Amino acid sequence: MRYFLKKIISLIITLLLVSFLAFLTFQLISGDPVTQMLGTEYTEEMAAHLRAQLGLDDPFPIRYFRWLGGFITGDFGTSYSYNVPVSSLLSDKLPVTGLLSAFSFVLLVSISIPLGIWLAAHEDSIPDKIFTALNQIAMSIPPFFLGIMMTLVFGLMLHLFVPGNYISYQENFGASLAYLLFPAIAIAIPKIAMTVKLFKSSLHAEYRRDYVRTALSRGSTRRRILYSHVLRNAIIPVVTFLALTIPEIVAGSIIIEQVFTVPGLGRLLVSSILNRDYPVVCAIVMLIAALVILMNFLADILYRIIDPRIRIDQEASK
Amino acid sequence: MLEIKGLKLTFQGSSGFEVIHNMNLAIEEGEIVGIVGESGSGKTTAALSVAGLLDRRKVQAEGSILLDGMELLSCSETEYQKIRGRSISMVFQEPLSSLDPLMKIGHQVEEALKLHTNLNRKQRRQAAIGALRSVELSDPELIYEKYPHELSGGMCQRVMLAAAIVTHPRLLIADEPTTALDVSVQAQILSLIRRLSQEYRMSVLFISHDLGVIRMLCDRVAVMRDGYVVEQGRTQDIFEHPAHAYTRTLVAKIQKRNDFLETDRDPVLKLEKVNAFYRNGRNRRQALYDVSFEIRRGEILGLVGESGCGKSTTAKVITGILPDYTGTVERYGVRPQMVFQDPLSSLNPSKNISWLLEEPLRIAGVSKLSRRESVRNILGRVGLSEEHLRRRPAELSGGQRQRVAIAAALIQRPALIVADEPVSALDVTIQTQILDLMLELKRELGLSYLFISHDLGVIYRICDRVMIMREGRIIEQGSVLEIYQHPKESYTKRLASLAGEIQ
Repeated sequence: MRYFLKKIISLIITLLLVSFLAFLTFQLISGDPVTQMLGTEYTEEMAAHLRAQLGLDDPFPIRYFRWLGGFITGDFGTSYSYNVPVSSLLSDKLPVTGLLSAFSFVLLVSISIPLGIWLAAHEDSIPDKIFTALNQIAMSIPPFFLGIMMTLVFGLMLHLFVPGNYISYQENFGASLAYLLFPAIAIAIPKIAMTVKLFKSSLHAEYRRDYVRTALSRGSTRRRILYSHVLRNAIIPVVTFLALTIPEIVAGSIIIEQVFTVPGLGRLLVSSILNRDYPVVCAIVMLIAALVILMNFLADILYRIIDPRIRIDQEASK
Repeated sequence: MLEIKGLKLTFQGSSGFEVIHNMNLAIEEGEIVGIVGESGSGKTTAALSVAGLLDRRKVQAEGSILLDGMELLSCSETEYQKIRGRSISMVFQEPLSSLDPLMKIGHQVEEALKLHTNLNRKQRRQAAIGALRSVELSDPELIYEKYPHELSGGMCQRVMLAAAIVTHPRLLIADEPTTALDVSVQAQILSLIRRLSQEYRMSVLFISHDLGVIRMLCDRVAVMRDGYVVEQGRTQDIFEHPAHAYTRTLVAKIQKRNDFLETDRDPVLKLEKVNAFYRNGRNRRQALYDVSFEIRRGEILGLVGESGCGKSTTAKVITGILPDYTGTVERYGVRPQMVFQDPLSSLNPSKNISWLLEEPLRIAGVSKLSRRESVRNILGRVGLSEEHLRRRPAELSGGQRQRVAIAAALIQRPALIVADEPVSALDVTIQTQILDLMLELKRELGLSYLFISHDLGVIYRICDRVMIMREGRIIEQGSVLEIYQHPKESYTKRLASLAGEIQ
C-alpha cells in the first residue's frame, strides 16, 4: 500500500515536470501566436490589444501557473485558432486516435503472442526461417512508408478500401473499424516483428532453464511444460515491452493519420504547431505524457501480479 | 531392481563420438549406489540416460537398461513420461534454479501427483504436505504457500526431495544434490536421503565428485573416468583396497596423514581482538567480532565456515584491503599475498601471462632484465614452462591459471599467502595437483598459508591447524586432529560428522 502511495506521488511530480517543460518549450521557440491569428493586415495596436486579452503580456511564471491551475480544474484553455475550448476540440478527435491505437494494440497482442509460441515450438522449421528473414525487414520499415504502400496496393490497386473515405465510428462502427484496419496494421507490423523476436528468444532462454529439466523429470509433457511453467516466466520481459509500445503506438497513430487522412489528434497537432496554437499543443503533449506514465505504472502492477519475487523485493526495501 | 548392461551412448552428428563405453551397473531394491568421477567423466550423462532425459535425436543408446524387468531403452517418449516422476524421480545440483520461480512450492510438489494419479485437489494437497513433512520441513502448511525465493538453498533441496518422493518412486536419481550447499546443510540432506531410502524401500543412484560424501552415504560405489566404469564394489572395499590406479589417487586425497607441524615456531602474523566493519551508506555493519589468532612460519592454518561467516573479511583485514577495523594486526614486516577462487576472473584477460607476472615487480620499479629473470625462476617452481608466457589467461586450463595466480603471489617473495578457496573451482585431480604444489612450496620455501575453504576433505589433507568461524566469530580452533576427532562446539560437531566419515 505504501508502495502505491509513493508511486502515485512520483507520478504526479513527473507530470508536473513535463507540464513545465512543455510550457517552457513553446515560450522559447520562435513565432508569435498573435501575428498568426491576425493574418497579414494588422496594426501594432490590434496586436497589443489581443496580446493583453490573451494574457500573453504577463510574466512567464504567472502564465504558467494560470495555465496549470486551469489544467488541474479541467479547463484546458481556449484554442487561439479555432476559438473554441481545447477540451471540446480534444473530445472530438481523441476517440478517433484512441480507437486506432487500441485496435492496433489488440492486433499486436493477438498476433505476436500466439505466433511467438508457435515459432518457438517449431524452431528451424521453414515458417520459422521465413519469419526470421522477414523479421529484420519488418522491424526497420517506418509505419508511414508501410501506410503509403498499403494505400497504393490495397486501396488503389485492389480496391479493398477507399483511401480518404473515413467513416466516423458514431455513424457506423463496423465500417469505421474496417477502414482503420489498414492503418492499424501499418502501425502494428514493425511492433509485431519486435515483440515476436523478443518473445521467441525469451521462450528459448526459459526452455534451457533448470526447472524445465525438473518438470521433464516428473513426467510432464512438452505441452504442459510450456503452459504451466515456461510461458509465465517467458512473458515477463514481453509485458514490459508491450507496455512501453503503447505510447509509441499512439505516436505512430498520430503520424499514420496523415497518410490515411483519418481525422484524429494527429492532424490537429500538426496544424496547431504550425499556427502556434499553444494551448492545444500543450494539452496534447500532456495527454501523451500522462499516457506514458500511466502505462509504465500499469506494467509495474502487472509485474507484481505475475512475479512473486518482485512483491517481496518491494516489501524488503520498505 | 535396476540393471544397466553393456550401455553405450554415442553423440550423433558429423563427429559422432562415444561418451559411455560398455557400462554395467546394478542396483538392488533399497540400495544406495554412488557414481563418483570428475566433471566430464560421463556420470551425469549415464544418469540422465536412465531417466530418459537425453535428447534421442542427439544421443544414440545401445545395450540395455532394465527397471524391474522392463526395458527402458525401447520405451517411447510417451511411455517414458509415465515412468518419470512415478517410478523414477530426480533431484539436481542447484535446488533454487531447479524450481519454477513463479509457482508455489506446494503446486510444484504436487505436480507429479497431478500427472500420474487421479487424486483430487484436496487429496493432492494432503499428500504434498505429508511429503514436505517427511523431508523434515517444519510448518509444511506454511511452506506449501511459499515461493522458492523465500526459502534457503537447503530448504529448496528438501522441497525437491519432497517433490521427488511424493509418488513413492522405485528409484531416486540424485545428481550432485549437496554440492551447491553449505557443509553443515550437506550432512543433513545426506542423512535425509538415507532415511527416505530406508522408509520407502527406495533405491538411490547417487552421483557426486566428492568421495567424502559418497563414502558417508553409499552402500556400493562405481568409479567413472572418461566414460568407463574403472572400478566398482562395496564402498568399504573400494576405500580400503582400491584396485585401479585412478581410484587410488582419489582415495589418497582423503586419507589419513601424520606430518603435522610442531608448534613452537615464530609467528608471521598475529591478530588480536580484531573487530571489522563494512560501511554501507550511513550503516556500519560489524563483520568480525574479537578475532584473535596467529600463523607460524611454515604453517598452514585452515579457516572453515559457511558462506557469509566472515572468512573473506578476515582475508581482507590481513591483506589490508579492508581498513575499517579495531584491534591489532601484527604482520612482522611480512606482506601477505592473495590467491583467489576463480583465477580467470581475477587475472586481466587482455594481458599475457608474462605481463601479468611482471606487474607487481614493475610497480616496485624492478628493472626489465631482472623482472624477466624472476619470472623465469618462478615458472619452474609452479610447474609452468616458457611457452605459457605468451598466452592469455583464457588460453590456459583452470589448473594452469591457478598456477599463474600462485606464481603472481610468489613473485614478491612473501612469507605468507592467503588462499581464498583456491581449489574449489577445480576438478578433483587438478585439485590434488594444486594442493601438492602448495605443500611443496611450503616445504621448500618455508611459506605459511591461511587456507580458506568450505571443503573439509581439503582442509584435513593440507592444514596443520584449523579455525571454525561462525557469524563473524572464531568459535573453535586447534590442530586438525583435535578438531576432527574431539570437536567441542555443537556446530563443529555437525561439521565434523561429515568429516568423521571421511577419516
